[in-house]
Amino acid sequence: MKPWMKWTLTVLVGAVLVHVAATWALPRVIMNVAMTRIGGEGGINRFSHAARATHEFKAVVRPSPDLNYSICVLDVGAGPVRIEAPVSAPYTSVSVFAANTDNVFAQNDKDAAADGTVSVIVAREGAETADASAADASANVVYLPGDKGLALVRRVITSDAQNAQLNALRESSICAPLGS
Amino acid sequence: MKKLLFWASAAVAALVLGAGSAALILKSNTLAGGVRSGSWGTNLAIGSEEAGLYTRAMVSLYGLLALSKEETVYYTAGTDDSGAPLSGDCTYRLEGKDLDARWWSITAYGPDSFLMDTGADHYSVSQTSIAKEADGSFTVRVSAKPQEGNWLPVKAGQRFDMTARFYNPGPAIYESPEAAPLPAIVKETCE
Repeated sequence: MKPWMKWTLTVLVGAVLVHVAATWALPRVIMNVAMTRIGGEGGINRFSHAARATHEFKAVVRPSPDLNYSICVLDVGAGPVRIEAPVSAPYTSVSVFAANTDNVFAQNDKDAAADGTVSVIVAREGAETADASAADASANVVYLPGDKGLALVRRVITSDAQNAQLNALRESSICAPLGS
Repeated sequence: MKKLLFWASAAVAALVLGAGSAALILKSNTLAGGVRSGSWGTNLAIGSEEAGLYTRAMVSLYGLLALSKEETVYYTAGTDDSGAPLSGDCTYRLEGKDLDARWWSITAYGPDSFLMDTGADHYSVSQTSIAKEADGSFTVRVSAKPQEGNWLPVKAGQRFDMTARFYNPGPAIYESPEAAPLPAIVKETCE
């Protein structure tokens, strides 16, 4: 093979590898930055409650100004984490994201338990959750492919007059290691 | 020395070509890719575990923490109905009816995908906030200047796009996402 052909082939193979690696890594890097930023402010395995999004909010792209967000950065490496979030009308959802941005779970107020709460136990894939499930049969059990992830509660804000109600719901929300 | 030059130049060229092509593809595609309904586009793979390499990368850039389609469908428009990019120097008329969802909103974003400092006290119109006619239809004016009635503020001198969020969409959205009734985007005037 002539040297210039070898050089061109090397560049093309290398470029494909770099292209795939960069595209694969980007969501993981951005999600990690977001989790570090949010976790740095609110801690791990506990809810932090964001102020209503305005033009000054720059932590996550395309925030909805109509939603009241509660965020919990998850680390299930040491064991499962329990999430409990009371819902409100006209729309509430509790969602869980893996570290690669996949939305691995979502449940909304329509499907909340009779007491108006969405309950989730988040665990690492392969973790033993039988005891946890038995302790609360109404809780959804969600598995993450790795130790890290993020839980997000969205509650629609219908008016400023609703703030007190939403704040009370936030305060009674739980994101904590199971059994703590 | 010749060998070192060979491998070093090949490595630099591969890096530039690989990273540059990835950046170009991700920059030229947005979440509006995939299915289109009028000026609005959606990608139903957003948030799902079946999402491909490029969809995941685009979600991280343009819609981190987006919900999967089973919970929410997102449509985005970056042009008006004539195909021209949306500009904060123009006034547009959105004409439509309630979106087919349990709850919905339409929000304007700047070119950096964040909310814009328009000086107004709101950034969206929604099922809760919008004023409708007796037949359920609505008209919204999208403009940097305050408008009578429903007003979606944007920033003069910069491009923007709009995202329509369908929380718990109706079955028709899944069956025919290309036929989803979304507001027409009509340019009225420009500065």
